[in-house]
Amino acid sequence: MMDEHKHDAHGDHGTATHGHGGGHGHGPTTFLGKYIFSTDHKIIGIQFLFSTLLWFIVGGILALCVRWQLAWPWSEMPIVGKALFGSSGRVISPEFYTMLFTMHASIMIFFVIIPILAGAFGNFCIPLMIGAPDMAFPKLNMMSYWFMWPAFIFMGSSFFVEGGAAAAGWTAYPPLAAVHSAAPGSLHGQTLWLAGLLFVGLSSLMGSINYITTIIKLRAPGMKMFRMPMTIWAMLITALLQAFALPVLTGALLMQLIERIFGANFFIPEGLMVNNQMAGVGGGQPLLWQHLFWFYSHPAVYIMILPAMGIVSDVIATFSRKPLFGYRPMVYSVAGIAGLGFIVWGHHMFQSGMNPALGATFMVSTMLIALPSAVKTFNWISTLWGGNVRFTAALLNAVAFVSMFIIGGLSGIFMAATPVDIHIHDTYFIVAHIHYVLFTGSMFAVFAGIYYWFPKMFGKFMDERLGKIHFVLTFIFANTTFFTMHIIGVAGHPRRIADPTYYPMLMDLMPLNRMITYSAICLGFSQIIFFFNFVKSLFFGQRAPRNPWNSNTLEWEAPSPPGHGNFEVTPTVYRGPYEYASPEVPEDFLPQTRNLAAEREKATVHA
Amino acid sequence: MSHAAAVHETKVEPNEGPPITPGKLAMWLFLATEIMFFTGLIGSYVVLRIGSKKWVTPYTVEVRKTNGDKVEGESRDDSKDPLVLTSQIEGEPEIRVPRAEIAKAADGSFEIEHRDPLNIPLTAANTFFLICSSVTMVMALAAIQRGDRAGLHKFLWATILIGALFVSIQVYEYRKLIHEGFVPAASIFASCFYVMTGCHGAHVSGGVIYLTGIQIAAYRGKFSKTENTTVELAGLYWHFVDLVWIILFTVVYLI
Amino acid sequence: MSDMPQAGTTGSDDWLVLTAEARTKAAEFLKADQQGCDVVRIKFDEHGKIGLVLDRRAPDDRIFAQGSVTVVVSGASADAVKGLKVDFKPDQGGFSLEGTFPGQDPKVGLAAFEKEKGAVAAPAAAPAAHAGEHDAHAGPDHTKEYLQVFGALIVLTAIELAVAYVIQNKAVMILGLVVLALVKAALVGLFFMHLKYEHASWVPTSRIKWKYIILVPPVILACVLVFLLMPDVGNTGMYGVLFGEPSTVNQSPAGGVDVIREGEGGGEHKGGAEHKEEHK
Repeated sequence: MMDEHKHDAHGDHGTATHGHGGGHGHGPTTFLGKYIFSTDHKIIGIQFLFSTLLWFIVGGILALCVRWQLAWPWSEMPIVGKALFGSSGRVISPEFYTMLFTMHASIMIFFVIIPILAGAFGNFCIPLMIGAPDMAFPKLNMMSYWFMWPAFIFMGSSFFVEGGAAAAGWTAYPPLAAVHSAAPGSLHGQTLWLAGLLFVGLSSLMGSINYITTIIKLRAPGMKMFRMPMTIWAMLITALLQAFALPVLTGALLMQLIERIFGANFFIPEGLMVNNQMAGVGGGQPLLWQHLFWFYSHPAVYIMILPAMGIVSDVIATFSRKPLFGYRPMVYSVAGIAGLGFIVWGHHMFQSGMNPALGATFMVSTMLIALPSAVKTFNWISTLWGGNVRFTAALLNAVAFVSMFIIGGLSGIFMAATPVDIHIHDTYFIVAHIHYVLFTGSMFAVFAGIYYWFPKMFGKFMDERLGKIHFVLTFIFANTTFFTMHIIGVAGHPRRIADPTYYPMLMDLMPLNRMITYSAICLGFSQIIFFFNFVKSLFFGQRAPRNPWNSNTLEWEAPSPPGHGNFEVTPTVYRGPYEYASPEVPEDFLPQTRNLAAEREKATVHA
Repeated sequence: MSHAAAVHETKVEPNEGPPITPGKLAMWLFLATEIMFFTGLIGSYVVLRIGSKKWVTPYTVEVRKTNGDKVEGESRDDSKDPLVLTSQIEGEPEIRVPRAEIAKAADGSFEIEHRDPLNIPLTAANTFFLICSSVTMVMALAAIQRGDRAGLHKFLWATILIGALFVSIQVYEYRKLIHEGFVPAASIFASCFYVMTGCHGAHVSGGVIYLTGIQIAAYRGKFSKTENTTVELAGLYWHFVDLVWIILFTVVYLI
Repeated sequence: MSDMPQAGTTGSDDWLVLTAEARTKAAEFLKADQQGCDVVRIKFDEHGKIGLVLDRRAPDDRIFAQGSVTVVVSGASADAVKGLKVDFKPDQGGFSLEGTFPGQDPKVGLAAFEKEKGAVAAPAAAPAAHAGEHDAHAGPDHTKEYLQVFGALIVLTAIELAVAYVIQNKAVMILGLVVLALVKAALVGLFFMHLKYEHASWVPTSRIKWKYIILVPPVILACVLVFLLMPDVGNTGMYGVLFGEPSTVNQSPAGGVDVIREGEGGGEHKGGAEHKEEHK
């Protein structure tokens, strides 16, 4: 069916002889040039994907260690306990616990979610979906991947230095993070953490400038801004967020690094004593770090969700066989979320002793974000409504994203209200919120994206049945894990404590705590199905045609997988990306490149 | 004519987007990110300074008796003027007094010599040099846009050398300051001073390397009247670094 | 994928030949292009003159893969370019087309494409034919303006030094210095960074200039960041000095000589003058 359409759509090429077209056939031939030091955006995207999936495993194991400690404090840990704590009686230490949750968050945020969404999907999809042969600056693109490696090495090696890895929380609040003697993790681990993050930042910065330039300058003929798929819109706006917010964090990281290495005083208050020693001459303000950090890290929350929203929009429209409901409002709401995202960072600091007037300002701006988010949610639901829905693994994950994002978004509104936040701040409620947004939100979108684009990336299908089993298990266990956290959070369970049994008031919550841990372990083991499916499909997957999902967007016009230079012929775009079930054609999809006018003209001539 | 075949025109309108090269767009985006980077640093300095109850300025003075002997730990309590100079750590001869106090203190029995570790005259000269390098850079671009390759070489060399001179003077200043105990740990001002001027100095050094690369490419025959985008982009970067210094000189040294 | 009709080279390899120089040169032009062009098109105009222009690929194009640059010709004209050789000779004014094609003189062709919009073959000696979009390149010589701006910057720096040393009123001094610094920064941006000379819009139909679209957001964000930090991080000390609220007496840090003054933030080096005036 597909082949027939192809032939029609490009019928006017019929007389052209076959051979090397466009930029094809000029790719490097050695293994090193092709897969390691590649400047091809698709290979770089896949490099990001593989690296981040490996770190996903590391971050997941750290999370399971955290959960083990919370359910059965100070008991011997199975499997990993022997390797990690062989010398200390196979039992975790309190300092090690703080390191675990710090590194779990740091790895998951900076090495998994951000690079998998912006790095892997951004790199792979942007040139393909706008009809460009590659990124605007392929070498810069290669650099942006290779700048991740110093970060990987710094963070990875920090586990093995004296005092262990960073243990001041992923937010690295000074003075705990800034003063060497404040905690074991602040000895060397924190320095490595800062250096690692600096490299992640440089990598993201290079990537974002490249993305923006590519999307603005390299679109195929006819690809107007408002004919771009939502994924591309999301990537463009995400890149803008990164470009404007990240440099501030880079500055702050440099400041804390100088503070740690040369004893500067930006964040050390006057007269601070740590372990009976003056921490420095002081004069700085710890709150300054929090402001600078959240000026980036709140937009970073949107960097972690906007591309996911874009992916989900494309997946839902494709598998509902319906145009995306309210395309322009969707674009405007992404832009609105991003714009508002710059002026809400203070809602992370309501309990920090911040000026109450600022707290009220940030509360109002935070509440406003609910509006564009609601627009998006309603539009996804309206897209599904009445559609000829095909329940593929990709769609199931995308729909899960929508429903879980609603829960995560609503719990966010609780905390946006300053009076409510007094009670639930720093409890498991916030842990539940972030995991609803980032795990059941972004990760479901990542799974959806992988199932959706896997045929394009590797030319093979992922196993649908395994994909659905993985989805069902992940959905159940993610909810039992993270929803329960809301309950113990409201009941007063603080986050970041190593031993809940120490507090009599939390003893009643221990059964729930253990249930979370059981669910988390099941959740972790469910991911084995995904990795098995991924590797199996990579080698033995069923071969995928050019456009397996009958989708409209440009990437499906290229071969699966696309060669060097992507397209045989630079595609010309005639319409928007969501013309499903169009009355103009008998098929239920109408690709962006199909030239109906020329087809009709030809039909008239033949008649 | 038989071969005057109708040229195929696609019905596709041109896409939106600025009529500048991808390189130029990327350079401006990079400069936009640099605006945010220096905002982070300079903004922090400004709010820290405004928010400090006490601001230890870098202006140090030596207090001497009129007979020329150096005074250590001397205090002066004037009923009209609540200026109090308390003792420092043993062995440190410098006494920190705000610049504006010098005149008032000098009319007493003390002669106070103003010693300013932040050498403003030297830095003003350095500012002058950096502005000069911006002019030579813009002249280099103008030269190659006229097709004047010799002019490009000449002005690029001038820019590179002045840039290197700027960095050298800054290194000299740093050495002197560190020797005098004005290290990042000394005070909040010192911390801010080093992070701001250090990041700027790193940018100037990067610019010098970038321009040297361009000079080498120019000697290899790159760039012409029509192809000089790389020179233009390097110029944009260089002028931006100059612009940042103009702000830094004001907020760090003068205010 | 054999089901996809592919555009490819038409006929044998010598159907159309690009010399190495021509290929390099054409690639450079494509790289510098600002219109989103992706190919070099061999084009016949309405008078039958042949020329090279930068263009976007069209569906019925015949493609001549030539390494770093893709050369196309409209399908209907493919036969006409058989045996054509494209060369680049700087001494002869740019690209030249050699070969036998009916009724065509290579020299005639040269004149044709120079007039095309975004012509590839601008002779090295003549000004580039940019349609007013790149004023900085083809515009008038700004040397005189540069020197004037240079003079202004030097004078403003001298004034800054004078303001810093002479004016005793802290608020006036800061205000003056900030204004002077912004003027200097604006001069550098407008003249040296060519912002004054860039008039192009983001889209031809719009009046919004691209430079504002790129520069205004970070400038606004920069102001927002500092503005929102002010009530929180900047809520003590000199805030009081500047706005007349008495702040608390300093605590002297360990091991430092300190100037303790009542009624002001203390320690600010110009604060003393203000204080003196208040006492009078």
